[in-house]
Amino acid sequence: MARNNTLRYAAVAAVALGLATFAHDASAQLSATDTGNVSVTVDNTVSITETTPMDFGTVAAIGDNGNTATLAMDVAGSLTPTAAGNALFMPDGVSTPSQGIFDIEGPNGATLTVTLPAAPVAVDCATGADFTLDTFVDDTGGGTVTGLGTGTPVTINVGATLKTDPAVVGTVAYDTLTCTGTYTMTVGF
Amino acid sequence: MKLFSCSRGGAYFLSFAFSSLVASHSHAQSFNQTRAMDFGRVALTTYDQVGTLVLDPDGSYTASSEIVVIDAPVPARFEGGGFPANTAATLVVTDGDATLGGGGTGQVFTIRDYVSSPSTLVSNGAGDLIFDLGATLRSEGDGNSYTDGDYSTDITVSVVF
Repeated sequence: MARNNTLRYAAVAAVALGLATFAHDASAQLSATDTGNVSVTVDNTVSITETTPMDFGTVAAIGDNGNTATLAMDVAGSLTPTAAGNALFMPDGVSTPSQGIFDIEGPNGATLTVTLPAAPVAVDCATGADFTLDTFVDDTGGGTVTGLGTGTPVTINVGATLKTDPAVVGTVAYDTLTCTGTYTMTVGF
Repeated sequence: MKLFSCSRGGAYFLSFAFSSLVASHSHAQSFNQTRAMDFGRVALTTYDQVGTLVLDPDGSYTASSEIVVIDAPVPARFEGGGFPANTAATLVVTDGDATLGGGGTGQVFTIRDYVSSPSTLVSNGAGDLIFDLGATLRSEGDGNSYTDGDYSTDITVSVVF
């Protein structure tokens, strides 16, 4: 009998090979979310307060038909009279004229536009001839000021030119009384 | 004479089980607002018309005549990481209605029309994403006044890869 060294190995190797995988779900979207905050601050308050009315003091005034005398007040309250024909202004030198003075409050850092009348305004006398007021000037240096916030006013000085009425009949002295008028200053953004 | 008969049979079941390797790459993701959108300090010249303040993501802005900018606006910034690298993302942002104190009542500033920079969002090679966000603020223009103060709202910002 032949040697039969047969080793038979019936080996069934069952190999379970796990393949390395990367989880990748291509069907799902990746997203990320956060909350954002949005803000804005409204700072709208602007106030104007007349602290001193414009006052030309006590003057003598004569109107003359066809001529207009002027009394110019600068932003410091100084008066410069200019006669025309028989029309004239003569300050009494005793009373104290004053420019108009305003306090303006607006948002800190905001540029505020100051607007004065472009057209003449009436200065009415109860009797007799009236005056007009025009050529307004201020000390803003360009028509704007920068706000300093509520509670911190910016002061503006205003002057103008008072004029006799050239339509009077003949040459007439203005009645001795107080003549008054109003004008509008506008401050805005 | 010896006869050797040797036969051996056997079945050897060898099972090699390689533990399945499942490697999943999980990056720690983050996505946060790092700078809030602030339309600054403004004044309204009128309540009767709609005013607009367009804030670009680079910080430049354009205001209509109804809105005066006193303090300049600032765009938002969002930053994130852990995203797929070099991958485009879609930006999704909800509309906002800013109210006084964020209380949700009273006069409203609408926040709409968002614009990002870069305009096309793509994560970088490290999976990071950074972008700035602008929008358009509008007043109501309905004649009702806006009380001085801080108006605010929250919006939801999402990036979808």
